[in-house]
Amino acid sequence: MEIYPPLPPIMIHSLALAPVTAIVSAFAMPLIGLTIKNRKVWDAFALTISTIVFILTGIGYATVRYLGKPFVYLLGGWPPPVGIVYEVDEFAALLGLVSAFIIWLVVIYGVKYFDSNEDGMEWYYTMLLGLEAGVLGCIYTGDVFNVFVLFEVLSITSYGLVAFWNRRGECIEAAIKYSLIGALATTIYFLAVTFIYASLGTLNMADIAAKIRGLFFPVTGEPYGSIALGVGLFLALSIWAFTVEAGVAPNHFRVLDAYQVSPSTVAALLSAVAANVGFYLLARYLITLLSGARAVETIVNAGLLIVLIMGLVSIIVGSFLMIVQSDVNRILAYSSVLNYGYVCLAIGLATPLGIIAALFHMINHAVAKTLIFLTAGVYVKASGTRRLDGMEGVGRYAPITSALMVIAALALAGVPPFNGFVSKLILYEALLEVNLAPLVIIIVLSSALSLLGYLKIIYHAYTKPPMKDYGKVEPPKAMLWPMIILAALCIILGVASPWIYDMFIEPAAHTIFETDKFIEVAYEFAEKLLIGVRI
Amino acid sequence: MSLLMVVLETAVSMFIVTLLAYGLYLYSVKVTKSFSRKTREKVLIYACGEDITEKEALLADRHLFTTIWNEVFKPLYDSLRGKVHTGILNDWFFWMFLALIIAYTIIIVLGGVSG
Amino acid sequence: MTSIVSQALWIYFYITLIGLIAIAVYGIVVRPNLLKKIIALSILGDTANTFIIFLGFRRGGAAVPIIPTIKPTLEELLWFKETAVDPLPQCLVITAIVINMSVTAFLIALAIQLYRLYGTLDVRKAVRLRG
Repeated sequence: MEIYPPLPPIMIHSLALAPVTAIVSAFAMPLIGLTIKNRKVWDAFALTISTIVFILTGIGYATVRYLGKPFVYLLGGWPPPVGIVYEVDEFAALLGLVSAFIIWLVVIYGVKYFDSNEDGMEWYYTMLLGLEAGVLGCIYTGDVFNVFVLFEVLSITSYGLVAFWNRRGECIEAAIKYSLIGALATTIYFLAVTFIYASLGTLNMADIAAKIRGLFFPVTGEPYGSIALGVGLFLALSIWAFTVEAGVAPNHFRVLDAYQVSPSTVAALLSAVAANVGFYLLARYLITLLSGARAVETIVNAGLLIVLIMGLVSIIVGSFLMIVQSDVNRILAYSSVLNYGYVCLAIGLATPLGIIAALFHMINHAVAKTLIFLTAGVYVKASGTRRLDGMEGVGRYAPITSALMVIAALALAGVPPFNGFVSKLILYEALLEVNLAPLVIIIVLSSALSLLGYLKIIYHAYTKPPMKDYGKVEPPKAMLWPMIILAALCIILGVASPWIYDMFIEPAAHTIFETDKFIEVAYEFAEKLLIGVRI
Repeated sequence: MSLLMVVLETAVSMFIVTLLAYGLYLYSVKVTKSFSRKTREKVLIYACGEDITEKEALLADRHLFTTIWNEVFKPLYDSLRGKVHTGILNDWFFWMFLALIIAYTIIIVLGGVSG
Repeated sequence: MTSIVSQALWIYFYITLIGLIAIAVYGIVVRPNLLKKIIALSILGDTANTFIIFLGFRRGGAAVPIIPTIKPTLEELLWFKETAVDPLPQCLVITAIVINMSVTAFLIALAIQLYRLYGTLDVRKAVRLRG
């Protein structure tokens, strides 16, 4: 164990244990479902595992903070360019922590959200834990091919979750669209990996970053041929694949249908957690791996321009189509597309302030969008329909849920003092910093439009007089508490934003630019391999 | 901390504006109360004399707003909803592959990739 | 003479790969039947696999990447370095084949369920979600 820094074993292994625990329990879940036919046991198992994974990601974040540099974990004991490693910097660790936290809350909410006679809950938990493993693995890994494998884990579990209500036609329709496009995206990403391997002869992220900058890295040798062609193809194909995963226009079609028909917990997970993986990988590849290298500078700038344009298209499409929908989940799906546009725009700027805005908005959107999907889930469950016309006045029977929904809507629309305002403010500053003032106007207008979209839901579900007596709508405590926690976070992230900005967001966003540290940490391990070869 | 000040300032100003707007609304309700009382005769104007309830006769204010919006942006909505968001996989794939081709073209042209 | 033949073969190979990708993209974008789309998707995946196998190939005197002895001598190691094809692409392809197989099976299962519920596999007809 002397290859790692002197830390308690739990701190060293927590980052690797988090995805491993999730995937092992995902495979154990069907076996438990076969032997113990008791829904409560399954709930307890999934809840325990997601709690453990959440704690592990928290410990991992603490480890990375404590070390102050990226943490490299060797899987199977093989050093970086030879073996697959996890290379976790603060950006990744923070994002992993947020993802695990959201999944944990969604699992708690889901226990009572699904009826007690719901069919196939063991498969729901299998998919959910698999999704957690895929998300955490994608975020933590330091190897572009391992990203492909965990991307597939993430994708196939999300297909299964979308198709969860497999006796409803529209769910299957949404699932087959979602999965066909997702399978295409992962295949395209595999092609991208092929090109980067062809031109650089390596798959390790730190090694790629070093090779493109012309630095020496042991074992893998020199790049052959023109790296510009290989990197250009790699960038075009992987940007496309990641924007499909993230749901940025014009690759946003599949997420609309999927969020519309799938259970509210699944929609919340996909929009808050799975999409962030796409953004994380975009930022990691475009900025940490490729930015600042003279050989591919123009290519990377072109890639950033593409991301920026896609973000703009996404903002326009999302805000315009959001306000004319009549289905509550579809309004929220378009709102997701709109917010993905903001994040993409912020990543496309590639300035330190832009990445801060992107990270902060990813977290804020994850919290607020999960909250609004979960509250909408309460309305949909009580009224039995997703159409706004069918749920008139249902909110009056659930005052707490309605209050939480208002908080989430205001946070998403960017009303101070909630969290969405702060990240949008940082995004304005980032845009003004690079003299893109016209885009600020577009963002303000789209936020105003989106507020109309959220008000439409509140108007129908709360302001309108009820058509019928809905009975007891207010959900049980197990569903209420996750929503209250998320709402409290919406307020805390907004009001305490200066402190959170200084403590968490800025240092985390800064690490994405620290390519030198990223290479150096992996190089220290690779050097040991070199000595071994020489002896 | 400047960020906190900006957040608080904006929050307070938006709160004041909301209060002002709400006060104006309450005032207008108070002033127009005598006119806006719905009588049977007023309701009957909207329907062709048949017996309908007040609720059915009233037009929701949201329709007033969204109709104007939809009419102004009708060409955009027609093309967005009728040609792009059709729900047919083939159309979706067309737009997605178009994006891929455009992305690659931008990278070739601006990035100066040879080949 | 042999170099011209091998050069022609390589060009033929690349043309074949590009043609296969074109066929797959055509099938995915244009064909309305879901099963045809799934078939085209597997063609695309297999083309990607073939392509990466190509990259690992060594022109002229390629050998299987296996060292036959347990404790190899220096000569054997040098011979291995000179002749062996790159083993890494084959590992990648093994992984990708397994993943493609499972995704294809899942897609076919979904298509069967869609046919049961909608009575069609035509993506132009199976449209209830839009807008």
